[in-house]
Amino acid sequence: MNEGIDETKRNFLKLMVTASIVAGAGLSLGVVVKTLSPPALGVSSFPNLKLVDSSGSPLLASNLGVNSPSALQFSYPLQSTPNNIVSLGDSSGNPISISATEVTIPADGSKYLSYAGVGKNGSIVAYSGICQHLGCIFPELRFYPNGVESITLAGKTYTGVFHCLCHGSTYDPTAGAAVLTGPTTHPLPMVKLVWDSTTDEIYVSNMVGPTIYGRASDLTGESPISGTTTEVTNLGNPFTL
Amino acid sequence: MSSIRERMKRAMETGNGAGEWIIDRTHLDKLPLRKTPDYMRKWGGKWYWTGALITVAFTYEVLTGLILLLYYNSASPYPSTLYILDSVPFGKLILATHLYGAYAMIILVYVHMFRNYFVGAYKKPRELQWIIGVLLLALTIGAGYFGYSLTGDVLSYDAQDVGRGIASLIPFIGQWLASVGFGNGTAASLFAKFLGYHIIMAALIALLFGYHFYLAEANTMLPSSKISKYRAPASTPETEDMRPWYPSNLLYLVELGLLTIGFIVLIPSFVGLIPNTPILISPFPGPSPTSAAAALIPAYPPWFLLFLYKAVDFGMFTNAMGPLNASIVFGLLPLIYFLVIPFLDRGNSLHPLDRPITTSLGIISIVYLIILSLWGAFEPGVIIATPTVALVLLPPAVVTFGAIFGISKMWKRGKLKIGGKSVTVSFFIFISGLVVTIILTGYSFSYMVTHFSVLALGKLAISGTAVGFLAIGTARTSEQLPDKKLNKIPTGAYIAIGILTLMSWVLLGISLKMNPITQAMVVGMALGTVLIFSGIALAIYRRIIFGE
Repeated sequence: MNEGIDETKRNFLKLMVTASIVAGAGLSLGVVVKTLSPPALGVSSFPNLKLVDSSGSPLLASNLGVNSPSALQFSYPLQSTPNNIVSLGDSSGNPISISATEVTIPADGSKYLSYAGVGKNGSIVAYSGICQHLGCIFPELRFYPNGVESITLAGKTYTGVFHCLCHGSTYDPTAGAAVLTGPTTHPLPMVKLVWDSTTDEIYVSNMVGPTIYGRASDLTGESPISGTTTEVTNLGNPFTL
Repeated sequence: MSSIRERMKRAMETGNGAGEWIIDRTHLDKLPLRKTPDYMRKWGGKWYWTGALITVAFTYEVLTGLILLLYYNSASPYPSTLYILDSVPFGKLILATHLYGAYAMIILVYVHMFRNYFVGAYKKPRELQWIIGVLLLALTIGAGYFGYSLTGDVLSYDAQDVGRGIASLIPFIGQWLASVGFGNGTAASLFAKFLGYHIIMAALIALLFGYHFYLAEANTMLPSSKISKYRAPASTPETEDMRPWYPSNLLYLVELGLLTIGFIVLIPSFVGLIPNTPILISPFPGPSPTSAAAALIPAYPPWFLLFLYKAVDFGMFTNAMGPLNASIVFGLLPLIYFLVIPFLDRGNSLHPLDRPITTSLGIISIVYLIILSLWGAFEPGVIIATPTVALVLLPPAVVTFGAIFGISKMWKRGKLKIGGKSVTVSFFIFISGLVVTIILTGYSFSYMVTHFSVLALGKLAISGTAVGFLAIGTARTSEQLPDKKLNKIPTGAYIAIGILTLMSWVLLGISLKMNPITQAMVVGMALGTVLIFSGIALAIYRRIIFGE
């Protein structure tokens, strides 16, 4: 009975049948592998959005208080990615004009050009509200207007800065949020503001600097903002809380 | 024949080669599973494996269900269903095949049950095995009902309204039962419960199936009538000349699995590519309950509950307690009948003609199930006067009892000789004949013609035939090769297997380039085809190597 069986021929058939089953199994596996990973969220390019207040009417640049300690935050470029918008002033409360400067990323020494301030006096700037050190947000990462002093771990005081109470990182908003003190090694990403001088409205259209903390890229990892506006929310004055 | 055993022996002694290593280390050859006689794996033996087909379908349901569980959100059922359909890669394919896998499972459970009913498999010593099987049918339909309702589409809300209505009609415990089953009225509590019950029922099916299968192994298969001589108790004791479980049964089960899953994937993919499929067989959920399109859809239940749905329309059930009474008469009573049949039909004869009452009631159950389902599909919600109900339901009962008793008498007198194959064939002809006659001569005929387009009928026919094809033992699988000497491999086998393998890989290559969201159903057709092709290749291989 066992004689005359050609093992080679039989193995060849076995191989072909196995190959056919492997094709089916492989395709099934491919389907499952793709299904298990949900579709990526995000946008393909930076959207152009108008800043509005909670009632939906446009936020006017002239209504932004100079040196106001209250945190005004809006999401950009995706949902729940907070940014702070501030109008910078000197110690006597006069707005100061911010010009574009070269900012260095201490981590790798690379440089980029920050955006100039906008508004009538060129004093309005906006930065990511997520600390680049370990991702702390408001009220830990907050704006210290000129006259309110922040104290770093080393005991040195700064004023007119963004300072994070988690681990003491300090950023200079007049110079593109460049790093004043560590432990952070990256400046805060800066949001590009566009001011319409006829209507006094403000638009956001781009970002520059390091990638937003915790993201693979600024444009993915979250749901896009629907519509053409993003709402500015007043989270209150952290120094009176 | 002995060659396999010798090869096995040699492999175990020498331990050479990857295949031998796997067999030895996984102890595939020592699995505590019964060997089966050769006739069960031969061409006509698929009737012995209806339970295996259900197991494959159930496994497929568990796997796809677990994937869907990663995306489904019972707090927003409809949006999360749409997200699975429109955004998740191959989400459409997984959801549609999960639905059709459940359909296949329900049909196969019916096929399995009625097959074992007519051959008398519930008799000694398999009474408990049968009872657990009937409970598994109820659980399968229950899991189907809850799963079907999870999508949050208009049909899902219809189904839960009806279910809650019937439950709350039950005296004394109705309100309590309705809140246990359907929550306190908020959508969130409803769908959280539905998801829970769906999974609980699937888990219970797995649990009971385990015991059902254990009993099946312990009681052994009901042997062919040639061996049992139509006398209970009958068993299939293991003998030395039976082939080992590995590889004979394993390869056979792999073949059945490939074919079953192949059809489960292929059919809904095909139906899903046809535009405007009737909502009862569409592999996708219906419109949102709040949309304008929802108003145009009759309050259909899932098709496997259509028979109950139609019964509620009967004249005698139009009173306040009607829906409950209809469910008791057409749902609960048949269920109880099937549960206790081992104790009603206690004779030791397994021949269907020796048990004319049992056989007649079985045929009438099938005919009623089909008629009521079709009736519910074509005339949803139309009240039927009691005389009309009698006119439709009584004739098949009378005809069946008359015919079966007549044939039985002739057979007992020895005037009628019936061969094994012709019984099955004539059985199907008889049942389809009854159903077709009633549809054609029933007064709903004109309605069917005017309200049902030829195209829709064609689609229904194609998909129905296909589902039926799957159910009837995954019918024609391999070309019937002549029974040549086993050690000669015919050239045709090389060509057939070669072509099948080649086409499988071509389809695999094409599929990899497809878009997982927009072309999910096309990939599904390719995947189903590849699985069926490999199943057929394996069938041909088994045929020429094992002579099965």
